[in-house]
Parts: sequence; C-alpha cells; structure tokens
Amino acid sequence: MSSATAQRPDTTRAIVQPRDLHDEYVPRPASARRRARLAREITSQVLLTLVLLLFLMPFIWMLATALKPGNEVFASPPSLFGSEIRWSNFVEAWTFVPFGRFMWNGLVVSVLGTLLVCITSVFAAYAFARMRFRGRSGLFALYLVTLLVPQEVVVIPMFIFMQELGWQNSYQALILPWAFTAFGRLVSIVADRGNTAFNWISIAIEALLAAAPLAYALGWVA
Amino acid sequence: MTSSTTAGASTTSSAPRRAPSLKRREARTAYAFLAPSGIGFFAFTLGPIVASVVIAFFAWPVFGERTFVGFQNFVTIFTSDPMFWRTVGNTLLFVLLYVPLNFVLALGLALWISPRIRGRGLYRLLFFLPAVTPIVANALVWRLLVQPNGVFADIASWFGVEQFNPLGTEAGAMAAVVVMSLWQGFGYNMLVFSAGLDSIPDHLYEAASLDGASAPRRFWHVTLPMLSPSLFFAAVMTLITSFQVFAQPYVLTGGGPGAATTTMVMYLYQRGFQLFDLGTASAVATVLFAIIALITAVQFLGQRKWVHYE
Repeated sequence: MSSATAQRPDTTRAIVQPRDLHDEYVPRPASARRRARLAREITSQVLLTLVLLLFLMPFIWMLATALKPGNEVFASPPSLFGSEIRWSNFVEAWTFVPFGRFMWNGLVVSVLGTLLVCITSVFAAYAFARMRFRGRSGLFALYLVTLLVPQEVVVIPMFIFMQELGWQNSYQALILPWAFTAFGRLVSIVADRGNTAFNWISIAIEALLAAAPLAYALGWVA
Repeated sequence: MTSSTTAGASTTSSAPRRAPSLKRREARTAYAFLAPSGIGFFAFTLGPIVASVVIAFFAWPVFGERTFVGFQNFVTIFTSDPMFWRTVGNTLLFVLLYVPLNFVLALGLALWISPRIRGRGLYRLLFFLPAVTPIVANALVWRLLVQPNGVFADIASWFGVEQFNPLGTEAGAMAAVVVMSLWQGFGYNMLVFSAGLDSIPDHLYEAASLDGASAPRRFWHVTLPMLSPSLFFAAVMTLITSFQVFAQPYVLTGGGPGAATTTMVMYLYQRGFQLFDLGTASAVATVLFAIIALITAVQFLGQRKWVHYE
C-alpha cells in the first residue's frame, strides 16, 4: 500500500512546478540551481523523518514497556530497554484476562455495526439523492443537525433506554445505537452525488467505525 | 416510532380509488427506503437527544423516584454549583489552546509532506496513527511518559530542570492534556488538509507565478482560499470534538490536580455515573449542546464571508 502511494510524487510533481518557473527568472547556472534544490529536498526529508520519529516516541515507548520486566516499568532513570526482552509479557496478558473474548467482542460489534450501517445507508442515501418526496429537505436537515450533537449528550438517555430494554451487557446495546448515527448516510449521499471533494469524509467514517466500538469494547464508557 | 406514523400517513393519504400517481408512488418507495435507517435514527439518535433535554427537567436518580422539577437542575448548576463554572472555564481554556495549535500543526505538516517528499503516503499514515489507536491506550502511555521519573522528566533533567512533574501543577496538567490531545488529534485534520491541497489545480499556481506572485502571496491568495472548504469542515469538526474532550483528562490527569483539568463532559459523567444524578447531568449535557450548537451556527453563518466553493 505504501509502495503504491510512494509512486504518487512523480505523477503529481506538477504542483511544485510554479516555484521552478519562478526560479527561472533568477540568473543562476542551471546545475547549481538543481543542486541547491536537491539539498533543500534532502534536508526537508531528513528533518521530517526526525520529527516523525519524535512523534512516534509514545508508540515506541509503548512497545518497549510491553517487553520489560514488570518491576522495571517505573525504573529511574528510565531506559528504553529493560534488563531483558520479555516476550512472555504478551502470553501473560493474553491469559491474565480473556483477551480472545475481548477481541471477539470488538470484532462482532464492528463488523455487524458496519454491515448494518452500510445496508441501511445505501437505501436512505438513494431515497435522499434520487427521489422526490414530501419532507425530503426537512428530514435531511434533521439528519445533519444530529451530527452536531455530542455523543455524551446521548449517553445518559441511551443508558436509561438500554436499562429499560434490559440490554445491559449485550451486543445489541453496543451495535444498534451507533449503527444509526447520521454519519454513514451523509457520506453515501455525498458519494451518490459524485462529489469527490468530500472524499475525506469517508476517512472520518472509517475512523469512527473503527474507534467507537473499540472504545466501548475496551470499557471506555461503563 | 415517529417514522412509522409518517410512513403510515403516506399510505392512508392515497385513499382515492384511482391508481396512485407516479409522484405519489415514488414518495411511497422513498419512505420505504428510508424506513430501515429512519426507525433506527429516531429510536437511537433523535430520541435520546430529545430525551436528554427532557431528563434535564427531572430529578432523576438512577434508582428510585423520578419527579418533574422544572428548571431546578439548571438553577442548581448555574447558581449553587461552583464546579460547573469551573468545568466550563476548563473546557473553554482547552478549546482555545487546542484548536489553533491543532490547525497550525495540521496545516504545517500537510504542506510539509508535499509531493516532493518521498513515501508521503507512509508519512501521512504514521502521523495519522494516533487518531485511530484507542485513545485510552494512548493516554496511558502518555501518563507513563510525563510521570515524575518518566522519560520527559529525564529529558528535562539534561537541561537542568529538576523535579519535572507537569501533572502536579494546574498549568502543567492542562498543558499535558493539550499536548497529548494534539498528538492524538492533529493527524485527522492533516489528512483533511492534505486531500484539500492535492485537489488544488496546478494551473492556479502557474498563473500566479507567471504574474510574479511570491511563495507567501501564492499561499495567501491561492492555497488558503482554495483550501477554505476543508478549513471550514475541519474548524466545525474540531470545535465540536474539542468541546467534548473527555478521555484524555479522564485517563491522564483524572481531572486534577484539584479540578484543574475537569472538563464539562467529565463533569457530566461524574454527576451521572458516579453521583447517580442523571437530572443535573442531563442539564450539563443540554448546556454543552447549546454551546456547541451556537458556535456551529455562528460558523455556518460566517462561512459566506470566507469559504469559497467552486
């Protein structure tokens, strides 16, 4: 995947052309100009990589901590590597809590939720995008407005609702409410109209669909 | 529930003997298509939103008697509850720090990861990574990093800063929450801006260059206006989500020290699920919703002034 995206620089190179055109007016030998540009590009790439490594430090630290003996996690001064590389930490974590079960929960919630939102959204999006009916724009506006409502506002009534239905600790409590948020429909509507400028919204959906069930599966909200 | 009545209304309204008109038949199909998602939407999205506002007018303990109390919950949080205003202030401070810094970082990196960078897809992916990894796990690692004998304290000691303990002071704890949130959240806006930047036609830059526009002027007069729809979308979404900040302070600081990093959503969580007072918790939620709705409305009204759609 990364190799495919890595190809892109050459095809989209034209974006940087303007600066080259502008530079054309500066009287300097072509080879010196090219060398200066190459130096700039290399510096930029190296600096960006350094920033990235710094940025990824919490992840690196997460991995390093996962491989340390337990009593060295809070060692002072901190060091990236402990006295030994303990792969057995993973085995212990896996057996200490029902981790397989947790992953299964996450999988069930996200797969069923995604299927449900895709199927219902396709129909709704088609109706909104291609059909004329009374209350079309009003209903659509209603959908959009709910996007502005923080999920935390919904959590309390949802909790009561689930209590009333006797759905505490159930899959349907995790899947159903979040499968009907307006997001999926908004995207499919936009996609149906072929507006590619909104493609980035699909990123939001993927992130939300991936993150929300995980957050719940990991017990973020009681 | 409500959607089934609208669907029912459409079928009963076609009472005349004649075959229903094409228009009416189309409408009926449309309602049928909308029903699966519509029923779920009313039951699980719109219903709870309305219910939240209704609950705010009740004394509603998790267990026991519920009674209608009118505006009492709002009066309570507005007048006799110092914690509420404290959390409003904390949330505003967080938003004011987080949103501009997020935009600067996201736009800066989106510009930096230009087509000249080799493997830009990989860079984008890695900068986006914290946005999709579980926020609770992220916050836990950050807690490990910022604790008094953690890595950051170690690095600080190289520069002669001893006793580095940001979570011990009010300003430090807020800074830690903001920095962690930035690390977690800016990748999303970066992707939005990257997509926006890539879709700006090259000929605009070429034309500007031929007219003698310098790089800063091209940025100001071509990049920013062409990027304004992305900027608008990002501004709306970032403001909404930053007002809802919860997991970062919950895990990283526990809302402390004292109540220095307790946000509105944390507070409504405490009231609802630790004090079991769903009424005032819903009142807090309603106020939060009102604030977010107001700010979003202002943004939508203001967009005509600065957002350029092709």
